[in-house]
Amino acid sequence: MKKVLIALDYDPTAQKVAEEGFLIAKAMNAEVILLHAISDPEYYSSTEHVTIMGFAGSEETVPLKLDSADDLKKAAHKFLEKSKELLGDKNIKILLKEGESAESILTAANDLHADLIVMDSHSRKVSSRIIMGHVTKKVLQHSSRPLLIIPIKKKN
Amino acid sequence: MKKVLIALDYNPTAQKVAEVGFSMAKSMNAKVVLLHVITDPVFYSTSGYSPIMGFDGFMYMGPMQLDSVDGLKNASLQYLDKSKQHLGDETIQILVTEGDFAESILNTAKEINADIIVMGSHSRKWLENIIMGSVTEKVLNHTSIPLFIIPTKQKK
Repeated sequence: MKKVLIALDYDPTAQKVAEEGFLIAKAMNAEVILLHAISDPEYYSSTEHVTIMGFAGSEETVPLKLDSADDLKKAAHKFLEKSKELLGDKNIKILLKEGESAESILTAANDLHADLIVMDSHSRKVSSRIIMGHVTKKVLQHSSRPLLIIPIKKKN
Repeated sequence: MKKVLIALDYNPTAQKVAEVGFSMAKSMNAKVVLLHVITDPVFYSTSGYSPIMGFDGFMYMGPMQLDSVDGLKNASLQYLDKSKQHLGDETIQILVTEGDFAESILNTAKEINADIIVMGSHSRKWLENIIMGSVTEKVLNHTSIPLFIIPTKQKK
């Protein structure tokens, strides 16, 4: 059976990545693994993240302290669980990794023998150009596995 | 029915791109369109070609036919037709366009309503042009089609 690894950011765009990746994985009749890499704790304390995966972080997480590694893990785990719920497939596996995002994705893909990695382009507009995010670029440069990039334009 | 657009260049790694892209498309039960973009004629007149798809095309055709745009077009169509035969599927559609790589790929994808664009990663420049080039920025801003990137290690 084919395996599709879907790397999700703790970002509202994750929903699109999860949905598109899931659709393709299902069409391929593949097993789905949702991955989230915990890297920078700062990232989670941003107040901008409102609703992710229909998961309003504020309701449950704002009193939830994200300053300890355990809390972060809990929140990230919840995020993946919510994503799984949203996709509505009990067979989806979830995987939490700690460390630099690109490396976590590459390692997980190797460990799982993933046939396909799905991630977003992390495109950002820098002055007048659209640039691909460094995580995506790094995975692209180091991966020997096919990569499905979902174009996402982040708002500035 | 899903549609997968596979962009092939004359690089020997095109075979891998065609094969992996095709098998992904088949597993999704999608329609396959092979695309080759004619851009710079100089690109075609180098002698560094190795057989592609078991098709030593340029040996038969000789360089003189590649001087004119028509000759190039014919050669490209033949090349795609050989690729199609190699994949062994009569329903594959082939397309040759002229112009800038990135723009042609994205425009074609839009025209045929492609669900996924497949391409190799070997021409990093080419890929970066799609993701970051200023020429294609406008096109990119209007597309949200996932890109399926197949890693192809260039032999040195």
